[in-house]
This record gives sequence, structure tokens and C-alpha cells, in this order.
Amino acid sequence: MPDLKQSRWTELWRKEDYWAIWLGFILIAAALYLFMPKTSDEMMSKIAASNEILKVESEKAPFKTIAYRKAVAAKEKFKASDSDIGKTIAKFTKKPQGWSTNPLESFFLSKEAAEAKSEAAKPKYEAAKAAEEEALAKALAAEEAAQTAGFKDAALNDAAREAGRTWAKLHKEASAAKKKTELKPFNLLPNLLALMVFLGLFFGIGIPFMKETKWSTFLIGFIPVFVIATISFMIANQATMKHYGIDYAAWAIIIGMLISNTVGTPKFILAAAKTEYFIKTGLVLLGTAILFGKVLAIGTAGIFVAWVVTPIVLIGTYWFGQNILKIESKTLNITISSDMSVCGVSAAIATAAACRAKKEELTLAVGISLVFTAIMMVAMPIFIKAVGMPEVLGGAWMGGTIDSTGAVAAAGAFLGEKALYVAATVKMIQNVLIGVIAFFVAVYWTTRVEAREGEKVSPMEIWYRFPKFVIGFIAASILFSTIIAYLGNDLGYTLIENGAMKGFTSHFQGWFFCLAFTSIGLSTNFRELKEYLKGGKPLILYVCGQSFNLALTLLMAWIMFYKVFPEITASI
Amino acid sequence: MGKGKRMPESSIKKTAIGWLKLFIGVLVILMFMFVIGPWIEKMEFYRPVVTGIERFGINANAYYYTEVDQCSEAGHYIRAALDYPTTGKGHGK
Repeated sequence: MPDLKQSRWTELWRKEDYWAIWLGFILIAAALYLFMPKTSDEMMSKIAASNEILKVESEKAPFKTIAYRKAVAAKEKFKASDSDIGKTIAKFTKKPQGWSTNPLESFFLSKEAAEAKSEAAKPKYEAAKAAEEEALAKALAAEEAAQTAGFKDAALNDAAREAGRTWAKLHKEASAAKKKTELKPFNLLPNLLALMVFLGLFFGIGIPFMKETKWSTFLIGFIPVFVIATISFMIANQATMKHYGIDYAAWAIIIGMLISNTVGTPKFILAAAKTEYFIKTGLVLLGTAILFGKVLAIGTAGIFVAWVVTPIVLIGTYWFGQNILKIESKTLNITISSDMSVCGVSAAIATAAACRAKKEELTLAVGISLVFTAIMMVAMPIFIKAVGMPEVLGGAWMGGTIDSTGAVAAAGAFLGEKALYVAATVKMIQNVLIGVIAFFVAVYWTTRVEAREGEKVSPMEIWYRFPKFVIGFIAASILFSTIIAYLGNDLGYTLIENGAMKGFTSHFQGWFFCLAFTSIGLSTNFRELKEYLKGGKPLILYVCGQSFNLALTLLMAWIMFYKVFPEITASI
Repeated sequence: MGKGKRMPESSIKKTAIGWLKLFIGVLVILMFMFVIGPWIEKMEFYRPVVTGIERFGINANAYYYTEVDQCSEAGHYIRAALDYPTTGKGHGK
């Protein structure tokens, strides 16, 4: 139950909710200032030329021609994050890199090692490139044959369509292989040191005003918190860990808990483990990625699969947890329900913060989600392939049910291009839903759950209780969505999505969440966590909710993509 | 610890056990990273997923769409498919 003392103006500089908004918006303003002017007439004319090709090619053939596919890829290449300032920001906020057996390669790669690795990757790239060139020649020949027949021969059209698809797949493989031949030497240590100082001072701005911790104590304690967060990123980027879909959030919790439950977390580190402060600032930045224009990314069918099924599953699971399983903690129930039905870790963070769940509850939700994500990432595509389910249906099903986005993409890639694209798009639409869910959970908690029985809550009391950072979260979302709507899809993608957002706010948000999860781990006790697992109720809740989710999503995807909007499926 | 004061034996034992537990914990993580994990991913049922992740360079442990390049690709592909559906209506023109 929150403190119901009347709101005071002093809260504006004393409460972490407001500091999250101030700090978040300082970064958002910087992002917009740096990336908004990054457009040129050349870029605009190239986008227009690509659109013209798409128009002509779409009318020319009843399938995606090679020129059509190349025009789509060309549009994707225009990114403001590729500008000089974008590259500088990326370098400054860079996380430890991928590695497989030598952890030092995550931080440092010498010129000799980079050259040796690039050289070793060349035979694979050359083989992939040769295969791509062969596929391109075949696809162009098939296209020409179909064109010669006036695109009236269904068999020739199908052959050209399939040849184009094969080329696109091999083109992606060759591009991925090429990247491995272009490795450059790097040394992340100076950058990481600079970032640590910057983030320590950045979060340090609010510390003297909130009067909970001494400024100097916070700064000293921040060093080990940052170091553990960096190690978490390093472990998460190890090749095997990537294959299992185990993210940095899980590693930050694991390492933090390992320290706190063995040798114990020193008090000076605990003083800097400001979970709420880091998480809320990260959430305000996450708001910039809640782009409402994404809702229509796959037409009306996507809205039904991601935005109708998900709230039904969320409410149904929460009801089941309260009335059938009788889970004592409502905050644990809603955090797991949201984590399972929406999109895993990010939804869990937003919901837990909106309803003020305990850190152990968030830890539990993230842990359960992690295990099931790893299982579903492998089991679902195998099952879909075994039963011969169409790619679009399988993709929509996986996108709507597997928790984390990376795992959705991995599972989709297993099935094919269409499945990957549909799965990733459905997941992306679902990602956007967390803004709405966080807002309604905050409202429901302040007006219903935290109100005494029979008590009528006045609007002012709702305001006192309302978690204020949610306002910053929603405001960031509305701001970025509006700018994109104003700029239009193409320019919005170039300047905002791949500039201010992916080139700036997302980099910082990743660090903030990692610092938050490190703080959670460092202050969590195994014994306290065990209390929540009594009777296995959280696990039962997840399994039952996910079963309901699987059934309903499959049914809705089938109805929408094959019965109501078959034209969308056909055009994909 | 003050000068001349000695840490009680039970406290030393507790600290030693703590460090031992930490050591074991780190060992378990290393075992998973370098022995058990690689062993499982080589199994028949897991190999196709690993191959896909490596072949397309997928960031499989990313939790949000902003960290997954394929989401951006998908967005473009699907948007183009919906905005410019391949009708072939104008062929020959």
C-alpha cells in the first residue's frame, strides 16, 4: 500500500518516479536533437525511387520479383543511426561483444586476431556468395520465363516465386557470412570506463535530492554494480547462451543472487543498487519504442492475434490465479500473467513497476519465462513442421505465444522466411501492447486493488497513488508515435526508429535495465524467493495460462489469416 | 576489524563457507557454458535451431523488438507486401 500522504510539490525532486521522467526526457531530448536533422535530399530521392520500383514491380508480376525484393532491402538500408553521430553513440554505449571460448574477446580484439578470424570466415562466405549468385541467376531466368509467358502460366509463376524466395534466403545467409569476414579490432575497456563514469554521474544527479543515500556512497557503490552488469552482458553474448535464448536480465539476477547469497552484498554496494530508479528511467526510455503505428504492421489480422487474444489471455489467467489457484499475492499473479501473455521480460518489468510488485516477484516471473521460452523456441517449430502447418499460421502462432522476441525470430527462421517475418511482426505488435497494459494495470491498482473495501476513491487520491513514471512512459510513447505519424512511415523509420530510438534511447535503456536486474539480484535472498514458490502455484499459473494462450492464439490466427483476411495471407 | 581484535572462529568459518559456495556457483555456471550447454545444443533436436540462429545472425536472447534486426526486416517486408501487393494487374503495360 503506498503512502497516502498528500502530494507535494517537493515530490517533483524528491521521488524517483519524477527523477525517472526528468532523466529519461533529458536523453529523449538529446536523441531528437541529434537525429532529427539527419535527412538529405539524396536519401529522400532514393526512398522515392525504391517506392516507384515497388509500384511498378507489384503491378508487373503476380509474385515478388527480384527487383521488388531489392527495392525493399534498399529502403531498409537508410538509417540515421549509420551517421557519424549515430556511430559515436553506438561506440560509447557498446555492450561486451559476442564470443565463444575466450571471454576476453568480448572486450578486446587485436588487429592480428581480427584478421585471423576474418580470414577463417572467408571460405564460408565465398561458398555462401557462390550459392547466392547461382540462385540469383536461376531466379532471374525463372522470372524471364514467366514474363515471356505473359505471367499467365501458373506453373512458371510459382517456379519464379519459389526461386525468388530461395535467392532471398541465400542472400541473407551470404550477408550474415560477409559480416564475419569484416571484423575490425576493438578495445571496449576505455569506452566502458567512460560509460561507467557517465552513468554514475547521470544517476547521481538525483541522489542528493532524494536524500536516501550519500552522493559519494552511491558513486563508489555504482562501480561494482556497473561491473556486474557488464559481466552479465558478457555472459549473455557467449555463443551457447545465445543459442538458449538466455538474456542479460537473467544473468544479472543470477550473478547478483550468487553474490548476495554466498559472500553477501557489501552495504556500500547495496546503497547503489537502486532497482526502482534504474528500472523506471529505463521504462521511460522504453516508451520511445512503444510506437502505436506498429499496431497496423500486418493489417487487421495482426490486431486480432496480438491485441485481442493477449488481453483476453491476460485477464483470464489473472482471474484463474485469483479464483482457482488462490494466489496470495495479486502483484505476483498479474506480473506472471502479463509476462506470459504479452512479451516476457519487458512486459514483466513494466507491469511489476506499474503495480509495485516486489523484486522477488519480478525475479520469479523472469525466471519462469526464461525456462519456457527456451523450451518453446525449440518445440514449437518442430511441432509445426511435423504437422505440416502453413508458414503464415505457424509464424503468427509462435509470434503470439513465445515470450521473448529474439526467441520468436529464431523459431521463425527454423520454418522459413514467411514464418520468420509473420512471427516477428506479430511479436512486434504485441510488444507495443505493454504500454497500454502498464497504464491499465497502474489505473486498476490505484483505483481497485489498493483501495480499502467499500471505499470510494477520489480523483485526487488516485493521483497521489498513481505511479508517476507511467506518465513519462506513455508521454514518450505518444511523442515518438506522433513524430513518426507526422514524418510518414519511410522517414519515420529512417530518423526515429533507426535513429533517435535504436541509435540512442534503446542503447541506454538496455544498460538501465541491466543495472536494475543486477540490483535486484544483489538484494534478493533465496529464502525469500522460495516463499513465493510454495505449492508450485506460480508455475501452475504459467503453464495453464500458456496452454490457454496457445489454444486461443492458434484459433484466432487461423480464423484471421485463413478465413476472414485470406488476401493478407496471399500477399505475404 | 579493530587492531588487536580477532575475528571469531565461527565468523571465519561462515566467510569461508560463503566463498566456497560462490566458487561452486561460478563452477556450475562455467560447466553449463562450456560443457553441458554445448553438449545439449549438439543434439539432433536442437541443431536446426542453432543452425538457423548462426546462419541468419539472429540475436536469439534479445527480449524486445528493437534489438532484433529481423523485426526491422519483417516490418519492411510486410509493409511492402500490404502497400504494394503483387497483383500483376499491369503486366504488359
